[in-house]
Amino acid sequence: MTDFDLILETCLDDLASGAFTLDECLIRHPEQAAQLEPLLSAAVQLGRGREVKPSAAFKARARAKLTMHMQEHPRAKGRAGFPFWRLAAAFAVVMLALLATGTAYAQGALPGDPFYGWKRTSEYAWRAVSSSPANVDLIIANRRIDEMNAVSDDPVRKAEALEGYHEVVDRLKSEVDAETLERILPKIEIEPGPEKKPTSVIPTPIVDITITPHPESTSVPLPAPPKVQPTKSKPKVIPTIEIPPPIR
Amino acid sequence: MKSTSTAHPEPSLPDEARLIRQAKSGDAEAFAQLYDAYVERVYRYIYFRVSDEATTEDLTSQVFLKAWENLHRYQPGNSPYLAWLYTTARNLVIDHYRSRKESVPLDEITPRASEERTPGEESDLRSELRSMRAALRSLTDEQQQVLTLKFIAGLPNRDIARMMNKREGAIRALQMRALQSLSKRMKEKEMI
Repeated sequence: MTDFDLILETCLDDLASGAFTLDECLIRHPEQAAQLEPLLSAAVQLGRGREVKPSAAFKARARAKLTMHMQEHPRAKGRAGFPFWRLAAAFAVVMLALLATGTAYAQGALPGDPFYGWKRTSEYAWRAVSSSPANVDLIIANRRIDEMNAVSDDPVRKAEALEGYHEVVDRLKSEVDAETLERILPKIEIEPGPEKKPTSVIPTPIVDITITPHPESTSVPLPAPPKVQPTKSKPKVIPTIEIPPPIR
Repeated sequence: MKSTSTAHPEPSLPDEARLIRQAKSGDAEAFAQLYDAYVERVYRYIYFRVSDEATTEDLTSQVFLKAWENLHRYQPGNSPYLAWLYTTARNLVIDHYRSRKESVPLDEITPRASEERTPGEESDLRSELRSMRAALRSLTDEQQQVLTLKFIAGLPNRDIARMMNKREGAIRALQMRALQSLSKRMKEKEMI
C-alpha cells in the first residue's frame, strides 16, 4: 500500500464517519490535494446514492407477494439446516472415546490376543509423540519381557513377544551409545512371580545380551536367547533418565 | 446543504440471528421482518446496477423470493446476512443482463427518490442520481460492484473482498481505479 493509498483510505474513512469534510481532508494533505480531490468528490457523490429509496407502495406490494409465496411454498418445520457440523462433532467424540477405551483395554493384551496388535500400534504412536523415544523403548522392552513370561507356556506366543523384544533392543542400540546403554540397562529389573520363576529378565549389557529359555519349554528355534538373571527387587516406578542424543 | 460524507455502514438488525433461525424453521413472519429490515438496501443496490425502475422493483422482489427458497443454504458464520442478499441480488442482475440483450435508453431512467423532499430538491436529486447512475454504468462490472457495495451499500472492505472472492488489498486497488474512472466520467459530465 503506497502512501497515497493510505491517505486516500484515511480520508474516505474520515468522510464516512463525518470526522472531516472534503475541504478539511484536502487542507490536511496539501501535497496530495490535487490528486485526492476528484476521487473524494466522486466518493461523496456516490454517497448521495444512499438517498434512493423504494416507494411505500412497492414495499407493501412486494411484501404481500412474498407472504403469498411463503404460504404456497412453506419451509418444512424443523428444516433449520441439518447441523452436519454437530453430527460430525458428536461422531468425533464417540470415535475418540472408543479409541481411548480400546487403547486402555489393549494395554493388558498378550501376544496372540485380538487386541495385541492395537497395543503394539499404540506403543508406536506413544513413541512418536514422546520427547524421549529411548525412554519409551525401555518401558516397551520391559513390557515384552513381562509378556514373554506371561505366555511362557506357549512357544508361539512367546516367540512373538521375543521378536518384539529384539525389535526394541535393536532400536535402543541405534538410538544411544554403548556407554549409555551399559548405564541404563540395569534399570530394567524383574521380580520373581508366585511360581518361583522369573516374571521378567534383566538383560546383560546390550553388547552381550542373551535370553535363557524356560527350562520346561519345548524346543523352539529361538535365535541367541538372552541369559536370565534373578532379580532383586523391582522398582516401584519405572525410572526415567536423561538419554543423550545418539552419536551419529 | 449537501452532505460531504461518503457512505458508512448501516447498523444491522439487532435480533437478526433469532429471526434467521426462526425463518429457517419455517416462520414466515420472521422472514417478513427480515424483508422489512433489508428491502431498501437491496433495492438501492439493484437500482444502480440496472437501467430502469421497473427492473429494479422486479429484481428486488425476486431477491427475497429466492432468499426464502435458499435460506437453508445460508450459514450465519460464513458471512453477514445482508452480504448474502447482495450476492443473490448480483446474481439476479447478471442473469437479467444475460437473458435480456436490449438496453434501456437512459432517457427512460426515472429514479424514485424520497417522497419527503420539496419539488425543487426532488428535481435536483433526480437529475443528479440519473447522471451518477449513467456514469457508474459506464464502468466495468467489477468497478460498479465495488463502488456500489462500498459507497452506496456501505459495506466494509472485508465483506466486499469475501463477496467478490478477492483479497482486501485487491479491493482497495480496484476501488481506487474505479474512483479514478468515475471521477473522469463525472468531470466530463460536469458533475464534479
